[in-house]
Amino acid sequence: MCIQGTADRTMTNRWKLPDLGLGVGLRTPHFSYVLEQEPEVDWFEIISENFMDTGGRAASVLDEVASRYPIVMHGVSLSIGSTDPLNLRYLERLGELAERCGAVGRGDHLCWTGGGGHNGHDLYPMPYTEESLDHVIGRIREAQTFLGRPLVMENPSTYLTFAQDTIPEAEFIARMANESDCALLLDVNNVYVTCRNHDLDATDYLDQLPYDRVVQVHLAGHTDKGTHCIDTHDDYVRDEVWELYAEVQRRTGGTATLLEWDDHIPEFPELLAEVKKAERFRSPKGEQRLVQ
Amino acid sequence: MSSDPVSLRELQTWMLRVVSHPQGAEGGLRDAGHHGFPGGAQQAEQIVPGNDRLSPSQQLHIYAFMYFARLVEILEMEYPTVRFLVGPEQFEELARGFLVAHPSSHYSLNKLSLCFPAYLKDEATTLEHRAFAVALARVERAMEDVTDDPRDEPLSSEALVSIPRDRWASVRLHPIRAMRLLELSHPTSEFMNAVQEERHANIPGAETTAICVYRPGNTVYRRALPPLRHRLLVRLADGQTLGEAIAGMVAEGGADPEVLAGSLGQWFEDWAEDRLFRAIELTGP
Repeated sequence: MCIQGTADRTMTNRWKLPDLGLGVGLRTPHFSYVLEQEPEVDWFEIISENFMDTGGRAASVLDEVASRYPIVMHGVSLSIGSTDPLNLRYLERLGELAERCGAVGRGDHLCWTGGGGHNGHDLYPMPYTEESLDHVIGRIREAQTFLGRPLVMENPSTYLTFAQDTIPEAEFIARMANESDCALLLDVNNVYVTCRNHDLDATDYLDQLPYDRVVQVHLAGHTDKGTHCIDTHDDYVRDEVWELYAEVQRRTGGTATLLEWDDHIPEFPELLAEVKKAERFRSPKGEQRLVQ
Repeated sequence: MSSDPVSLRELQTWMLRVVSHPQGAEGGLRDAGHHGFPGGAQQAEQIVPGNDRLSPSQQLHIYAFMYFARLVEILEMEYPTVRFLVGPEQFEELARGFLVAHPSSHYSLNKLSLCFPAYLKDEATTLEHRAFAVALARVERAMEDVTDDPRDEPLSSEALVSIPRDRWASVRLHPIRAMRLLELSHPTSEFMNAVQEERHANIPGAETTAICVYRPGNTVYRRALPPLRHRLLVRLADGQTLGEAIAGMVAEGGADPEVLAGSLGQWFEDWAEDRLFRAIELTGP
């Protein structure tokens, strides 16, 4: 399957999930604005954990927003790479939340967040070995069976590598996705940050990914420390990331795109203006006709 | 020098220990050096090679820095008045001590500091104004808890007033679930208000007081409670009928039945205005 008039490897996703358009994260400082102004944004992403286990304002805001916009769930605590057992209670809560807000997708990161019962609440890097690949594939399958649908797994930003790594990250992700039959969320800023931090070629990285599994793209700002970059989500998207984004859109033929902005969060109109910059890299609607 | 293959579990255990070490990644690596690296490695480079710009320790430091920065920030947001009381630097030290003693074990950051008030009370033994800090922490914890409690539709004043007088004794009133009743060693309201309004705050002397923290809609409130009101609300929240609660208070002592009878109308008017109850249950015939 490919998109008419574009390169051969430009494909839609294998689940035929629609391109939701341009979305932003639903964050507390914007709750009132979103409810009162109903801004013209195509969809919202929620950090799953911020809306689980709560019956407070966040929950009632989510109910309202979900009645007006598509919602995609994106978590940070699945800890798919951890050697602790999968937290079934967490998965139950995830399923309940998805049901409640009619989530279009649910995903998390290729990482581990803790072990031995200790949660570090960070996205720690996986060693890229055959052992950890098998481990992650098994866990994704288990979680998908539990949830009854594919997970959407995101490539991480990483700040170190392991001496025992034997598989390049992009290949690891491709094999993980193909063998577990999960979907991918391609965070373009993470590709940039990781490639900068580990002296990788971003185009080579992109070459290895299975685009028929990419159902969503993330954009974000990062901090360049000179010696390394940090995925801070606290600024505008940098030009070098927009360049990669253009390449990714060319390869996917148009995929739902989200701007992440989690620190020094601007007013909503400024956030919206930033994500709408993505329009110039996306095919106009109607031109993305599927051909067999 | 090569090392043996390191299992995923060994690697994760090691890295988490290093990045959550109280002295940061350097401290974690120093400890690892003393106790042995996984896979018989002799040095960090055999596990995390680093690159020409950052050493293994510097790369691990990125995660170690974020570990405490992120979690301390959560505590700062949840306990702003305690932070004001002890000062920002000492609060950070306190928070780091808490995180080392009670590392997070839940997937949600909302549960990170559930036992912070107990930590202040039982473990932060050298803290100045500790009893007052504990009182403030308990109120701030309760404010966090009711923020996430399920939302109930509170009863209207009319619904409460509509209960026939002759049925009052047998009525059971169910408070909204987003409510906490606290008995404290110090008054906290004035200090918390002053901090919130950024004006001078005096540390009060010890005095047993009570407070109700509640969220009838989307906003969290706290209201100081005189002793009798507190005692009655505690009993009602425990599921006693109004008659049982009053009888119990009288039997307990310190509650004059006539004073109680004369005060109830006003108390319930106030509580109805505060939207503290969600349901009325008439018991008995």
